Amino acid sequence: MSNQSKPGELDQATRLVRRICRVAGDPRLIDKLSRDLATRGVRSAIRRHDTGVLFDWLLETISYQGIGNHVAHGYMQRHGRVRWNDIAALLKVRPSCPKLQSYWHFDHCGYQKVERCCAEPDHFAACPLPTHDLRNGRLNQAAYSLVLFMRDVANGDFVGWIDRRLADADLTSAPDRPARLRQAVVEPLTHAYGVSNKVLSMALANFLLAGDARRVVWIEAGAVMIAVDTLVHNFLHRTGILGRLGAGHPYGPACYAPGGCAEILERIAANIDARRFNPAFPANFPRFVQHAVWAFCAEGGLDQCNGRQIDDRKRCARNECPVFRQCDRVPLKPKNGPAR
Amino acid sequence: MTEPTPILIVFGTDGEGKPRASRFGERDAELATKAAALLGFRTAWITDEAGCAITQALPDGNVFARGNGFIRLVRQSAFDKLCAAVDGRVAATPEKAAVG
Repeated sequence: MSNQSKPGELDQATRLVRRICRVAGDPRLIDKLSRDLATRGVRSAIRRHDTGVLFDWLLETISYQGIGNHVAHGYMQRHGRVRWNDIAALLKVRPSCPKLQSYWHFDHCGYQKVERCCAEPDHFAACPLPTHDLRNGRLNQAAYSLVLFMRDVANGDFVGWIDRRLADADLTSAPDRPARLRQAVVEPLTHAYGVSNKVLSMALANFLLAGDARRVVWIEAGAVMIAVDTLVHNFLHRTGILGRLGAGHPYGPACYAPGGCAEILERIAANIDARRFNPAFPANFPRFVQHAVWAFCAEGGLDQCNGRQIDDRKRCARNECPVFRQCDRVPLKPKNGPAR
Repeated sequence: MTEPTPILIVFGTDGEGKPRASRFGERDAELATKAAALLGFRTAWITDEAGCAITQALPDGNVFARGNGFIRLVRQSAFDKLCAAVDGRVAATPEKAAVG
């Protein structure tokens, strides 16, 4: 974010996003997440420190990245899911491939499902990694990388590892405490293969917010985790928030870089008291704010601000939009201009 | 005078014979030691001032990074100085470690 951006610009952005929260914010967000996690056995797995169940849940969440939910779900229904117990058993017999020795060895595996090749062709025939029929080879690698992370880095106790990471970050009362809490858990996991910052932030936000009400620091960390997808990025562009704050950038890693979408949403959220939407919410609740923006945009939500509703070559003309008058209506892909 | 803060050094030559070395804080020491053993690198705690001066030039390691991201490439001269500081002998070579 540009240092030259005026405080008034942030105020205007806050007013617009506050309105979005009124329209699309879900006051029952945590309750719904709690029910979902309970149904999937995640809440009881947290109590039991059952890393296997948590891996199964996290890998399924990761499987949805980069493709439509119905496609990913349909594939898993037809071909099954890979489970912690499957991979752990296969690794226990010590496969010959040197890359499967430990989390730190598992680098540049290079497995490609269609081509049936990898970076260690001498070990391919005996390798357990290709034996799981996942949607693509990257998911096979992500699954093994995550199992190895949980086995070697977290010593088989993922809940205990999160507790320790957050306890370390909890010592600080610095102004960047939200970022430190977020990074304490998200940053290490982004080193596992094929796990994006966005998907991790989304999955862990839900997990930490609604996994165990007695773990106060988990809730604080989950509340500040922001998932920036194209809908959220494009919203910040179309509304003119990125431009006004001197923070224009293409969608991608820059969204999580200093001054990017995540930091902007965090700054806006700091000015919105989420307790006005539900007294049980934490006052500072960037995840609620980001989720409201997403729900406002998404076809599965209010379906207001997306490429199907708006001709992105021109200024948005949807005067029925609840924030039409507050919005700069910046074209996303102006004629003769670069795509954002 | 205050004692220098102990620094854990992980070092050795990689599979291509290139010298690698990085420093880790006490917080990451347990995991760094585990990863070093698995990858066949050596570890040493640097506690004296002379050693600390040498380690100042080393890059930080990352216990969560895989493969070559764990410890970084360093100049041969810096690597030799480090080895001399640790045990007075020359280059450490990776040993195949058993995986637990």
